[in-house]
Amino acid sequence: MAYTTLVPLRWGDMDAYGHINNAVFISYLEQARVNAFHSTPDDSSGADLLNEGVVVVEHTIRYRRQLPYSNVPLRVVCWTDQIKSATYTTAYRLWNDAGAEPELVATAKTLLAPVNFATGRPRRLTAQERTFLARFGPEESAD
Amino acid sequence: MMQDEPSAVSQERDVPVGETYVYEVQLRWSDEDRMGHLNNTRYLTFAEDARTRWFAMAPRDEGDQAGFILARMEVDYLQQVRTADNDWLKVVNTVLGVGRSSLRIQQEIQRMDGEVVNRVIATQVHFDYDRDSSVPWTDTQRAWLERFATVKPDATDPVAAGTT
Repeated sequence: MAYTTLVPLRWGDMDAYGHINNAVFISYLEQARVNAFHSTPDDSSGADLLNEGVVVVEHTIRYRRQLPYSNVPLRVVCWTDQIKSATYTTAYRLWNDAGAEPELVATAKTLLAPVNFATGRPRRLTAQERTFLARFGPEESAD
Repeated sequence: MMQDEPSAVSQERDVPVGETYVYEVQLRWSDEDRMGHLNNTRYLTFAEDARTRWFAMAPRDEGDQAGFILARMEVDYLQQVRTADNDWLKVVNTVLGVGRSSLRIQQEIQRMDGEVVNRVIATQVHFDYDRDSSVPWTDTQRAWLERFATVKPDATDPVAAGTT
């Protein structure tokens, strides 16, 4: 099942154009992943994976609308898009709920890899981690 | 305003024990630094966000283009915060003194259980950004700001006494 979380905007996220700066979206994606991994009280696999080390390999972001600063938090829906032996992909849809109708402001994907920070080497995902990642998604209406 | 009303700028204003504005902050993973705690610069960001939301509610006369500008900050770091233990903090805002065109506020950053971890004292100025100059508060604004005053203005404080 896809995971939904609310990320409050900060005034400093806005740039001179008066909208949320494109680079800040990466932080929103990060926060959604962290919140998702801490959302499972029955299973600490995600929190353990974060503590041990996961690095970003690639981000893909499509900016569809400007996101003005407001006091309405951004709604991020995310899910596991693909699991491979030593990488996985998280996909996201970012919604602005400040208007009368929800507006899809961005879609994104992140390729991530677990690493062993002691050796600095990437490693394979364990069976338990794969099961954990598979809990999230995909979103029913994902395109 | 009626002409026979007393001047709003009297020496002894009887300020009631006021309201507080409480702003809750969701911490981000990126707020933590290499020391494994909330980085010192983030408290200023939280204080900024609290002020932004708070002052967005301030009354404004028609045609009034002035905003708020920061003039001074004092920050006391009282406790470190490990973000794994605290997903949310709150900023509790009160007014310490209202000057002619300035404002002194206290912003206490607290854990959700009320423990104070950081205290910011800030001076803001009512400011016209286009004209690059300060602007006196209107009576309406002054009355609104004083609702948040927790103590009677100190006459020896130049800000509270309205000389700045």
